[in-house]
Amino acid sequence: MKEKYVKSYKNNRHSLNKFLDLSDLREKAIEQFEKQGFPNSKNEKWRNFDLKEFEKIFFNPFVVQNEMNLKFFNAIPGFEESELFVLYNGFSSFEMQLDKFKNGVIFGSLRAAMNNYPELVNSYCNKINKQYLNGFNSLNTAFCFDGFFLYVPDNTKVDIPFSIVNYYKNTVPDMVATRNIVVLGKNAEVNIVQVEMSDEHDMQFVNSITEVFLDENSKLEWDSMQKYRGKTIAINPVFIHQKEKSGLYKTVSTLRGHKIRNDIHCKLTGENCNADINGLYITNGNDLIENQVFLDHAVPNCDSNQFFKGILNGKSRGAFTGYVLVRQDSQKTNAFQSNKNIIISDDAVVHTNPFLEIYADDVKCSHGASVGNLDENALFYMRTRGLDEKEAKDILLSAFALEVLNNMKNIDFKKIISSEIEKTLLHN
Amino acid sequence: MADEQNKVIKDFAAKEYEFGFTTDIEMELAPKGLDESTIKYISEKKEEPAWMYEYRLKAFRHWKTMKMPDWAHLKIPKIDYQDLHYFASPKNMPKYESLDEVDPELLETFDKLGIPLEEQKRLTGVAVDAVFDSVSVKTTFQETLKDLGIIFCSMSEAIKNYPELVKKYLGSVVPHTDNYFAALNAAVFSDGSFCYIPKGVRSPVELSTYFRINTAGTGQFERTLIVGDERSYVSYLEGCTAPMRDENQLHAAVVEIIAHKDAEVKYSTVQNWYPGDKDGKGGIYNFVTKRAICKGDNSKVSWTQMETGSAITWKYPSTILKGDNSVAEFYSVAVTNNHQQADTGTKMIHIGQNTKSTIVSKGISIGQSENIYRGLVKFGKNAHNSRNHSQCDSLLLGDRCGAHTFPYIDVENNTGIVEHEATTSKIADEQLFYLKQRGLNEEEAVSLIVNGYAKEVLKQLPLEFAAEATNLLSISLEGSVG
Amino acid sequence: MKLLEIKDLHVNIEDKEIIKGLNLTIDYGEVHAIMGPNGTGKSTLASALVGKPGYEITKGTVLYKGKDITGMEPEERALEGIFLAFQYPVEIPGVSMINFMKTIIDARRKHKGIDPLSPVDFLKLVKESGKLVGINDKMKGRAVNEGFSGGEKKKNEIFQLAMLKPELAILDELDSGLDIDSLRIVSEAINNLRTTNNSFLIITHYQRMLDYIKPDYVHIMNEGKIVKSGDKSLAIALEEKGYDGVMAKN
Repeated sequence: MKEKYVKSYKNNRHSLNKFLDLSDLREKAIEQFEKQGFPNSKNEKWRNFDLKEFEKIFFNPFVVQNEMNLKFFNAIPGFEESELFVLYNGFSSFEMQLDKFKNGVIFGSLRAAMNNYPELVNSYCNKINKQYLNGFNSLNTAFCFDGFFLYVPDNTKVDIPFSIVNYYKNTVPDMVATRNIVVLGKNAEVNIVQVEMSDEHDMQFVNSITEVFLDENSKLEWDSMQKYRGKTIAINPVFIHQKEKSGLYKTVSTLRGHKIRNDIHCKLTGENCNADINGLYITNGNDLIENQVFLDHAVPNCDSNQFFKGILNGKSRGAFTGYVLVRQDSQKTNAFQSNKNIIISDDAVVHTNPFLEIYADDVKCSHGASVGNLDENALFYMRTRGLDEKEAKDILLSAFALEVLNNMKNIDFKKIISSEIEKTLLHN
Repeated sequence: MADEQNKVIKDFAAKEYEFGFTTDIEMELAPKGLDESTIKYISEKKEEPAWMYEYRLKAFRHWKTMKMPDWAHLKIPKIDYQDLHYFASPKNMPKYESLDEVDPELLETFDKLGIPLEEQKRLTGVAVDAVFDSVSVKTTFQETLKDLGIIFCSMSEAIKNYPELVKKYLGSVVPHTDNYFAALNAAVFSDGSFCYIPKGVRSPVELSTYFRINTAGTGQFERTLIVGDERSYVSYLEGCTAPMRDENQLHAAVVEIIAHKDAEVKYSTVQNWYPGDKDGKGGIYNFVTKRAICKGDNSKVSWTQMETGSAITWKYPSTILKGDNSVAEFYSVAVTNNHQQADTGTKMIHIGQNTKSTIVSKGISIGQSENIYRGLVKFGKNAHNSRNHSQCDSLLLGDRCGAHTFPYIDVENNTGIVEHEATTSKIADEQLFYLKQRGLNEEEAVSLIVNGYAKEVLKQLPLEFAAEATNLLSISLEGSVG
Repeated sequence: MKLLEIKDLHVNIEDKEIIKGLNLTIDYGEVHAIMGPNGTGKSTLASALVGKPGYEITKGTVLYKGKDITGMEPEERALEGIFLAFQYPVEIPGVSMINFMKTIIDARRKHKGIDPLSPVDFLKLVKESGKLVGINDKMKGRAVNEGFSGGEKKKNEIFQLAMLKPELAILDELDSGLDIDSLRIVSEAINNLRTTNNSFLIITHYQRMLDYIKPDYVHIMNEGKIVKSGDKSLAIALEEKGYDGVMAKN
């Protein structure tokens, strides 16, 4: 299978570079992929993920651009007030959409940004330490063609959120390789709102990489909702570099997905950073949703907080790996990690791995994990107040789930996600 | 205070091993190297029946197909398995009827270790099966046990005298295919202890084995098998020390425990193998497979370990909770100092209904050492209404060491509850100051706090061991302070 | 020779001067109370006297039994007979009260060159001292201060004081967190422990404690110095008129 991708690359490298000129990077990446291949389940990081499709199916790395379904916009209320950018099967929906605002903010298609501001984009593209890149990531670099680009200059605070919609609709086993870059300058503050969704359709492979650069004292609140219908396999790693005093506030709610893997790789390279990462996964049917967070405390005096919850139904599986690395001399680190799960059905499975690797002594690190069912005392209490069992369960479940959204500051989007969560739970 | 603490830690790191002495007894060694002829040599020396030889051979052939595991968070130097002696026994092993006949020098060795056989036999009522290098020296207290029908003897004797029991249980919990070191052990195990508690019998004494590696360049491969039949109870103690040597010595033991219906087995270890010197030279490689099965309903297995020794430890005393309502516990204190590495923890595999497991792990890292908790809690599909609670705490003394926690939790059942908590901390300055204000010096204060920290585990040890363990912990901390 | 003579004491915390030239002399058998508004350095004085790290004495001397103790380690001062009842006693998980008491008693005896207390005598002492402050057996079986209520922690401090019988006992805001009954019990215990050979330095915010423990001297501290000294009546005046009122008289 590996050879097919390599061959496809060789046949198409020119047209790929016409889309997004990365010539050198692509060459190195495909070489790397040739060496690595896809990860397999013997690899510690992939032990809970199901990779069998990648042995059998060739996901054609090219996507035919379809007609945009405009009705879709109406389907997502609450977006009227924000800057909206839509990626349809990985392509900028309107040809080369890219806005540059008066305050210097650039927002839109990566492909367009690469054309207009090649130096700027190149200085932030593919800055990930090679040791963290697996075969999927290499394949992304070799085949990526578009994605979103957000650049916020120094000292710029933007009040309205930037909204990004990734919408996938396809019928053949295609690979959509998108590449996204977010750059916040010194003292910049911004809110990203993202919806990732797909239609009911056959096997499709979303293979993305997002790189995020947070300069000194910048703040990024990034809230996303994922609702992949159909048989989408999505591998969505995010690589975050944080400089001094920067803050990351990220909430990911995954309400559905055939096989979803969200990796967040966050490196704190300046003191007094804060990384606050929250996640919810609600699984059903044969879903498999896995979150992995790797938090690298490379300097002293930083705080990190991971808070993940799962509700599992049907024959689904949910997995969480939270890895905190506190390097030598990273004193005064505060790192907290929590993963709680509720299994509703007889056949759902949870894997949780809250890992700590610590080389500094003056730190406060702790983690907690739990797997169980709803608290019977609470259920009983509610029933004595006149609720039937179903009502009581629904209330407790949604309270359990909504706690993940507690830190969201974007109230409008919080409402949207909350109601989607409630709908999903009721439907389940 | 930080400087002072660093000094304390440095001094602690400089502490030398207390049990570094060798015994000059003429040893009979197998030639170095490992091939099928070695297996034959061992089996012949031990006058084993053919089925045992075949078992070993099968294990050896399987071992040759395997690779050493590399998933642990350990830096293991390459081990030349052909450069080891796989069998060593004091020459002309006589069969003793009483302790008077035992070589006085041998007895003196045990005296130095603080476990004089005679003393223990007379005063504490502990039956000791001492494994000196590879061969069981003398099993005491046999007669009392015999009256109750308890079998407590060396594995070699068990193979000769109770072949049916051995055949039935050997390898039933840790099959020879289980892992690299278990396969190696099955092929070359030298001796060990065998223990069978008949139905309805509670062992009136703690059974105890003392392991000790003496000869240079030998690997010690004990094999321990404990069977608790229905409604029985036994508490088993294992202690380990080894003399100081520059080169590394390999220790790859296997312990199997079977608890039948309503039986309870308590297994306690104080492991104080030579950890190497302060520069990381020498020391024991302790690659041990310990596993129990709660086979029958309402059975209980409890592991308690105090690990202060060995250059490298790779050890996960585990329990399979197969019987309904079975209970398993794992209590561990692991102290690493200087360049020691310990990757240790447990696995709790819940299969039966209403099963319950508890994990309490306390890691203490000092110097440049690495201390890792690694554990698996698994609830199978039919493990209805099961419970697990895990508490894994790490204490760092110094800023050059590592303390890591790698829990794996896999749950396939929606009626159970798993809870895992872990913390990492250092000794708070406020605690040290409070104790100093009451007149304790730094060393005394650290020692008191660490003992308090490990208390939850230490109190699980049987009385005879608790004092030794507390001592060991204090010794470890002596010199840790100025 | 006095028990304690503090002359022109200056103490810094993180380069900020908190105590600014304080003088105080305590003789054997005396009870002194220091009162004053929040943030005037009362607790800093207590911490500095017992050698808390981070409390830097930049100037002045502290003579205890005629010896300057400013360079001594905290445990040396403790072994010489200075005891601090902490405002916020620290929890030490897993260390049982009994084990802790035996360890600190024997450390003191060792320092004096006497043999450890025999278990029988030790338990007798524990029983007597416990009775004095109303510590029950249940509390003795627990770990040091772990899960104790605020009042229990304070009682535990006086329990230790009764066990150790120091020459100089500094009580830092002992009354905070104590209900009125407990305060009475603890104060009575302290009165019982008073002899002609030991002295008390009571740091407190309110004079209510001084109704139970009668001080020989009352000092008012403000901005790092003792600004007024007197007898018990000063504390009463303070309670009636407040700090400003008392100071205005000057």
